Amino acid sequence: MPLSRSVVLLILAGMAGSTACAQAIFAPRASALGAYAALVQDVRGFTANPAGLTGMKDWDLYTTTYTTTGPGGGGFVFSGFGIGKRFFDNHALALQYSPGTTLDVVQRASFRIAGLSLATNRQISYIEPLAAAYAVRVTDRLAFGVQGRMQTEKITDPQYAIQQVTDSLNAIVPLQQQYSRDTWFGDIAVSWKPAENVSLSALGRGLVRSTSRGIPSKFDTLALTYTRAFELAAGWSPAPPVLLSLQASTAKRGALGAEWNPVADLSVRCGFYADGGLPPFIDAVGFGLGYRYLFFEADASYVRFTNQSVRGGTVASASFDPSLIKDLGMNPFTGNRASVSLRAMLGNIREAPVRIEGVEMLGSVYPSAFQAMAYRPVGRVRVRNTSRRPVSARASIYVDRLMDRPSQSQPVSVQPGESVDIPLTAVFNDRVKDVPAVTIREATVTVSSASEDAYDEHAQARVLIHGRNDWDGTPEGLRYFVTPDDPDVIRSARAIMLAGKDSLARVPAELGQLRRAKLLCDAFTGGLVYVKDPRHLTEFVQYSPETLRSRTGDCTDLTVCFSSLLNSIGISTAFVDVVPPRMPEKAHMYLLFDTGVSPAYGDHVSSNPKRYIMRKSRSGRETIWIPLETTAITHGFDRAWTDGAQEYFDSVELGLGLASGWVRIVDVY
Amino acid sequence: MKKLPVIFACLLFACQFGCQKPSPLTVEPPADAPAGALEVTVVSNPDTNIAVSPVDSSGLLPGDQTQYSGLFLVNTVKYDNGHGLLSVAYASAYFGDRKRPFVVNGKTLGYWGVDIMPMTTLPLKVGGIVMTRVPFKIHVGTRDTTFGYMYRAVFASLQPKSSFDWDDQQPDPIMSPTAFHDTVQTPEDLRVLAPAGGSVLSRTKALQLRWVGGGPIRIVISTYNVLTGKTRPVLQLKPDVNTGSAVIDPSLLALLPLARNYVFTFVIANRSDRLLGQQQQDRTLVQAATVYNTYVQFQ
Amino acid sequence: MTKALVVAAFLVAARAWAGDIVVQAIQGDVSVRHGVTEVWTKVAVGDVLRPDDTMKTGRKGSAVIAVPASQAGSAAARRVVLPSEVIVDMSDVRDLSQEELMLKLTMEKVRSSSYQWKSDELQIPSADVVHGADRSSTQVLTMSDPSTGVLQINGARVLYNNGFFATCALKGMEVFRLYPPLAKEFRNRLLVAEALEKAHLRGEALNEYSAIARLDGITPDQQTLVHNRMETLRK
Repeated sequence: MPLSRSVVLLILAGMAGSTACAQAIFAPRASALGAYAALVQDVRGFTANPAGLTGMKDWDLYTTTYTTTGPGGGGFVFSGFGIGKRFFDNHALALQYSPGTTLDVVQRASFRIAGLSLATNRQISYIEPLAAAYAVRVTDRLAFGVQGRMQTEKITDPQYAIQQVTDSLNAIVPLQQQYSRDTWFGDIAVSWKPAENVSLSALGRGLVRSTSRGIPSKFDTLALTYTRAFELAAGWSPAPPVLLSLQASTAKRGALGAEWNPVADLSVRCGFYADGGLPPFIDAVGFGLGYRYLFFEADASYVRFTNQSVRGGTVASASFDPSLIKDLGMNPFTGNRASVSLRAMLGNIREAPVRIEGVEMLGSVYPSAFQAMAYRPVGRVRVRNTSRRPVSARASIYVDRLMDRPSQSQPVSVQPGESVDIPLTAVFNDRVKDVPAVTIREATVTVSSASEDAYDEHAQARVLIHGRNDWDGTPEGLRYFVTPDDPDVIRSARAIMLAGKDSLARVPAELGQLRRAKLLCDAFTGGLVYVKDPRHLTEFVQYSPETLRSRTGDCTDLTVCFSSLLNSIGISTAFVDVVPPRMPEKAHMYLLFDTGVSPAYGDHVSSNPKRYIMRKSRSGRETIWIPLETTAITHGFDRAWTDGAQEYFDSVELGLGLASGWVRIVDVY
Repeated sequence: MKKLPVIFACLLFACQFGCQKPSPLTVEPPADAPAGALEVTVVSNPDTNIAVSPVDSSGLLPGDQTQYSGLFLVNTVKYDNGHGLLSVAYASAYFGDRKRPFVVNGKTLGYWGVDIMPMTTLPLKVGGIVMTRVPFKIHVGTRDTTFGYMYRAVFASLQPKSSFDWDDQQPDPIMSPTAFHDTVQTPEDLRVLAPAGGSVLSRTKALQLRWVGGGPIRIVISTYNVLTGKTRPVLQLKPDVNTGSAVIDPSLLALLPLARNYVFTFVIANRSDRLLGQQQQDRTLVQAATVYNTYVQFQ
Repeated sequence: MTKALVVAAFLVAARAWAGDIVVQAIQGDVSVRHGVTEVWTKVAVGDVLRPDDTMKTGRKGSAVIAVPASQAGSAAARRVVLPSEVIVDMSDVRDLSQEELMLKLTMEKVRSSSYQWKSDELQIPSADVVHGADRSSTQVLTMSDPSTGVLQINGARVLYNNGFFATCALKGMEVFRLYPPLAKEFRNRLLVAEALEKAHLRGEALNEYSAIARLDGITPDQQTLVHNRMETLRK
């Protein structure tokens, strides 16, 4: 039989049991509400539903004390403490030490030993001192938990022996025998939140059990009965300040509870306990208060039982039946109880009113255009305000090593329950330009609702970062490859200018740009080789220094290079991007540069107006621009000009490409 | 001001500790066996060299007998072994002179029974009945040795709650310079309902004792040698209040030696002691008792 | 001579119907400049002209070209007579649809994409004044010789007379930019306005008439003429 099936059968068989040893009431909040299992969200009373431990923020510490009021009561008893820790976001562990969860019984003997003051009473202790639990949050609404509970039965049975003191004198000497037995129970629980204001839980209690030997069979009548039980619970908040809860068990026990928050941080609670096995039906009534301040939470409760007949601290032997004890904290012999507890939340306990619902990256990052990422969103994060107050949310994104620090967005106001998209902009550092090839990097997206560094939640997103030479194929993207301030470019251009300074001196100033452009291009005559891009997933563009070094490149490489060179000596340029309709594989790019000459002086540029274009320059006035086919520069400036002008005329004037949109002119500088 | 709640919380935290232990649930024994109502005494066996009357016939523990020089008894003794009830009523008087021990091989086996009725014209009477002087015998080895006197009277029966006067006009001048008179009242009749004679009992279960008969009652549990008829008391139980019942806890039964045959001797006795001799050890016990012996077996 | 012209014209007529611009007849000084070159060469009858060619006639020159139907925008080939002293681009001897004309006019206005792209994206303020003007040279340029512009305006007029209103208007506007003094002449501006009107661009025509009305030196009669044209367009 497969393991899974046998486990299911074991559980089902166990659920046929009629009574159970339920959890002890440990937390005042639990005892006041009664129906608590669906409301467990921290270390308080986690044995009611260990799956609720995933509600912890970080460290949770908890202590509780109680006193039994009425006859048989004493002072405050240290009930115990609990400690819990959430780790790896979705996991939680908790430990509870509860020495006060005990039922001590003294069976008074009907005799006494003359002359001796030793006790002749039998003492029985039922204790549930330890519980440990582990919980995991599978989804935002579903969590599972398992726990182990230890129960100890101790019997101190007075026994005697006759000891001969002298030949004629005998004495009774005590031989106290102590017996002890530990039982471990295993429980499994699940919590599910089908809606924000509804929580459901199911718990299989005592599904597995392990009992040590230690108590002779003659004391079997004093043993607690252990059977399995199944509990269902539900919590519902019809309105934010009100919480209702309901719980039922196959052990014929149930409870109904309510909690009301009249003001922030104050809770008023009440609950009713029902026992279907023993009269009266309403077993007990609980009341409680809770108050929260900073990272402390104090609770107080009072539970009063309706049937007080055997709760005075003394019962007749005929009324004492251990099989009636299903819960050490609440059994037919438990007296009215007042409890007080204190909980402290430590560590990362900040309320997180803002949650990330999703992160979307808008395309990839081209290192050539990395500066634009500071202003153009690289992605967006959808956040939701889960609190009841409007918050101002910020988002930030950080890619390790490629950013010096997280780039933070502007604050965005988010109303309660509202979801908004916050654009993410990224300030990359210079290292992004060293990325050699396309790579996928992890970007950490965080959201916060406060101005301090603490964040409410973070998420991971994958960012596609292209190689430094990768180009997105658009003339706008190509502009980022133009680096007129590159030292190599500046050095090359100025060297050429210096070499041609004599010819520059001979031309009018108005024609200076034209002459400089000619000098620049002629300097490369015979010195450039057209080479196609390497086979690559994306287009490959060389930066100007790379082209200057290699003296090779395709049309885009050369266009970028000469644009950089011309820009570096103050000449504006523009890309002419030609993508013939129905022949995108024939796409081509060449250069326009601004001569700075007014059209009225066009004859000084050329007698053929078809060799130039009149367009607005950076200064806003119309000047003459000259098209250059950069791949022809190796044949000289004139050839490059002629080819460029012919291409422009054919595509723009004759083909109406500019008007039709398959020719685009994009200014660089 | 902001620190106040934090301080309060810390104090509350500290107050969680160092508190009381929870009050236990006290389970009282059944009403017919109130808690602690039965006093248990282990019977010491005094110098067994000294002959004593068995408890099942005298209702007296050996220790009681050895501490008194004189024993003036009026007893009704019943024997119930499950095959019938035998009842005997008698009176006996004995006074041992401690200055005249009977020593054999260095062991004191008894004391000279003083003739406390030296003149038959002034007899010792109990209840107006003249007692018969009989030799006081001490069992030595396989023989009885007479060593002084004792006095006996046998009755058909003794009425419960009847007064009996001891009247000795002329006791031994050495023993007592003056005549003495003492009155003792017989207790109520005693009838034991449980354990029934001849019953077989369990050592692991609580043993219910029930009887009819008021007054200060003691129960002595003794081993019983069927062959020799000798009893050896082990435990004495004394209920604080004679309610007609008592429960012996198995833990007490565990004290009993692993003998099979036992006798439960129920004794209701009215007692008084008085100084009858010159010496402090000459104390005399005057007793009127009803003794009921139930002979049982333990598994 | 005339006979030879006719024969030549007949001979090339068939070729004109085949889709090329063919020189049917020439007289006097007629030259052609091919594509983006700067050299004028003599043209002969029967020469096939490309759309990127430009034809120029001298003082006593004239020519007749056959424009294919596809280019003429008509059902049949058309004969265009180039009188003397004109410069005509063969690419202008064609019909543009109104939409094409509007697009070209729009592109005329939007001459460049914004220079602000980088500044806008990076929010980097740029200097309004850029220093570094070159004052080293003492030579001063002179404006282009307007005579070439006159030839081109004459060519625009040829286009108008042959019904190529759209290209006429575009050519006129281009000439005005290259030769600003020609834009101050009423007759030249009126040509463009009328061409726009004929091309059914009422708004553009109105703007042009309005600009004409503001010309310096316009006579009252010319003013009246312009206003009447404007009133007509507004109706």
